[in-house]
Amino acid sequence: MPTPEIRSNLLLLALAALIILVGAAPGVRAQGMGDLGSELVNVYIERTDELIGWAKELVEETDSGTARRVLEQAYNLNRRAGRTNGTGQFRSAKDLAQRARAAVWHAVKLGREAMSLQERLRVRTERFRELHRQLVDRARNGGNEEALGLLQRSERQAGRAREQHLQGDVRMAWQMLERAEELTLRAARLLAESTDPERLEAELDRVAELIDQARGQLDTGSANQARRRLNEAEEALEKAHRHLDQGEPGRALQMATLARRLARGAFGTSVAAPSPEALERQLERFDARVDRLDEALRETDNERARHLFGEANEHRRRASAAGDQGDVDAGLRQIRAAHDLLNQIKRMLR
Amino acid sequence: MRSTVQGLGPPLLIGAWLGLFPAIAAAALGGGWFVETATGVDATSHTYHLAVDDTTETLTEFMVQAAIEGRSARRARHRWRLRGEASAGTELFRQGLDAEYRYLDAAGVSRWRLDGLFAARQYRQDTDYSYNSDNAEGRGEVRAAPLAGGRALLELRGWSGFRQYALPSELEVNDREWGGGAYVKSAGGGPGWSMGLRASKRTYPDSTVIDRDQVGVDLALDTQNFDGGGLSVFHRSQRRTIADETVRPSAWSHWTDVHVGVPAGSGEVAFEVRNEVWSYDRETSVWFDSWRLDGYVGYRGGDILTVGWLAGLAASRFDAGDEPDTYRQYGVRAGLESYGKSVSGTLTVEVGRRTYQDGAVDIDLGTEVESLQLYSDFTYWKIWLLGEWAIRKNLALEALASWTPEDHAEQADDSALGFANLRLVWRP
Repeated sequence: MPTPEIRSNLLLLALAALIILVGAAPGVRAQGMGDLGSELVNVYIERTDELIGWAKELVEETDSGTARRVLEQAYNLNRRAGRTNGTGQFRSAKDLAQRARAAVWHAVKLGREAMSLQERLRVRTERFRELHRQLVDRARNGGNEEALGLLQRSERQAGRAREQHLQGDVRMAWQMLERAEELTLRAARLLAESTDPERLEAELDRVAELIDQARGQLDTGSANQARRRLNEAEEALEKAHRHLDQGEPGRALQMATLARRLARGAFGTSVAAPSPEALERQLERFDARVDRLDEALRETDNERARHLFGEANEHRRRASAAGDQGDVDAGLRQIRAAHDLLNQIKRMLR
Repeated sequence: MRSTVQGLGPPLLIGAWLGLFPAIAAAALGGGWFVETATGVDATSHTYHLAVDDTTETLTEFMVQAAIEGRSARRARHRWRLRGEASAGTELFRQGLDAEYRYLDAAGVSRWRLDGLFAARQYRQDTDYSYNSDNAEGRGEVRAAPLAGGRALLELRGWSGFRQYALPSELEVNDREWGGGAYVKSAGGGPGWSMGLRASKRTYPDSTVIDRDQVGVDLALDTQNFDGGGLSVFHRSQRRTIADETVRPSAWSHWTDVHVGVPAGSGEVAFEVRNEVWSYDRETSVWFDSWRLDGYVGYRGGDILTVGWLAGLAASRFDAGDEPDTYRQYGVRAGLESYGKSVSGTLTVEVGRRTYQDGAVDIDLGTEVESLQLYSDFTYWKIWLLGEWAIRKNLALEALASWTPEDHAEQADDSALGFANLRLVWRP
């Protein structure tokens, strides 16, 4: 007595042979052959039913609505296959049953994928929310409307991802959240901490200092190319200040970065030592900054700021004295320290 | 919930919103309030193969949307933001409210922070969405910094959230969540860092067997600098305990993100790594241990003031032991991006190949075990486009699209997933 497995395999072999025969001789339609085909298709349908039951257990464990829908399609197709086979149209029944089987596999794949994604989606959504919040704060502090616009879009996209998750389409939700993250990263690139005005202004000061240093070297004679670069750097820095005034910190940072590169380029093509004129310009710039800070310093009751201001002036005095004695290097070091202290005071007074 | 929503009537709600706008817009001239209106279309598409023909599920929704946002002055000690929005679409109505308040001390440290988020959705009778029970969800969070020094501060957090359906179903499950945490984080300038402990509980009133408790530790470091370089690291280790372990096993998870940017030439070399480990107390055919590693290395160059570009290599490894899901994946990514004033956008394309270790699954049908090929190797494309065209000062066209087709060794496994949003936005 053959086991059910052997019988099943024999039937499947016979079905394959039957398909070949029918395909090779389409005119042959013996009644007996039709009965055999119908029985074989019936076995196939019954096996698909078992697979649907197995897949259902798995799919119901997941949040995947898509997997559920596809499995329901599989169930309906298999029912139709059974009915069609009952009317003797075993070829159509076979096609339907094959489609049902394919739908089962697709549902299982979607389900397994969803199982992995649904937990990851929760972690990633929390992470997105935290990062988004930090960036919104940063963009708002700097008044960077361009970045805020991107962050608004990313939030909307994350909302759509959330809706897809509620719909049980975890895979789509995952992809949408990925795109929402891309939008936040794009905003982050725009911001690049530029929206913290204190840091951006400090950066502009540093670039100005760099340009001054480079200018100092050029004064003792150097290539036209370096001179040209330095002029371009100054123009870029001026534009950076303009963008900052217009509430475009992202563009201000872009221009400051360009100015820094150009100034560094000028350094690269210059070979001379620092000049007394460079020190003189730094001293003038210090005095100009002090003028701008003067009112705020008079109004503040921040003792620490006043103390630092005294120190800054002391460094400025030493810088000037070093310059008078012809020690430009020491003078530049002192005035740099004075500028750093002014930056610190500026931050404290905000 | 449903009675409240139906009592007011979604169209009425939308009408009220829209009616308020002219008045609010006028008030906005004084400063601090911004209005945004938009109209557009959202579409999703999922194509897969069913034996002899392709099946494509497509859903398209047209909508109008209005939002108003109020903000405090940038440098105010008491900072707040309130955003309300509503939309009417061919599939559903949506309302949302997003509120935030922060109190900063004299040194600029955020001492108190309150966040609230609420969203509600009402589906149309003839919607194409499969799950269409009206629903609402919300979340509130409080953060306080009772101790703050020059370099670090202690932050205490507490949060609560809910999701509520008018007609709950198998996939439309109500839930409640609450939790708290204590974090030590950086204050003032310099690199940002934080470390903290968190604990939370989520309950499902209609399905308490999957209620869960979670405890975890978070670590973060960010040294991003002006040159575009820097290091960003985030790590979370978490223990999830399920109420009834016979239904779903408890698990440990470890999640790490690392981003490194190194300035090089006129651009930046970027390294990205994401590592995920899931370890279950008891493995089942549904919940099994796994380890995932995604990596990317690439260069972002070009002129940041005109057009930039990126090129890189992406790789993934998913290890689920003997499970059929174990695979390796390699891809090449390239893209263009622009930050222009009138037209800005990004186009990124990635093409690669995923290879499964086995891809076969053994199915125990009681009388016998059947081994079947569940997964087949495939070549994938990931194409994504983001664009914005500022037509006029206050009018912009925004587009976002993503298309991910998979070409499998077994044709019957071919699939494609895509979505697109198009919006005409007016900010008066």
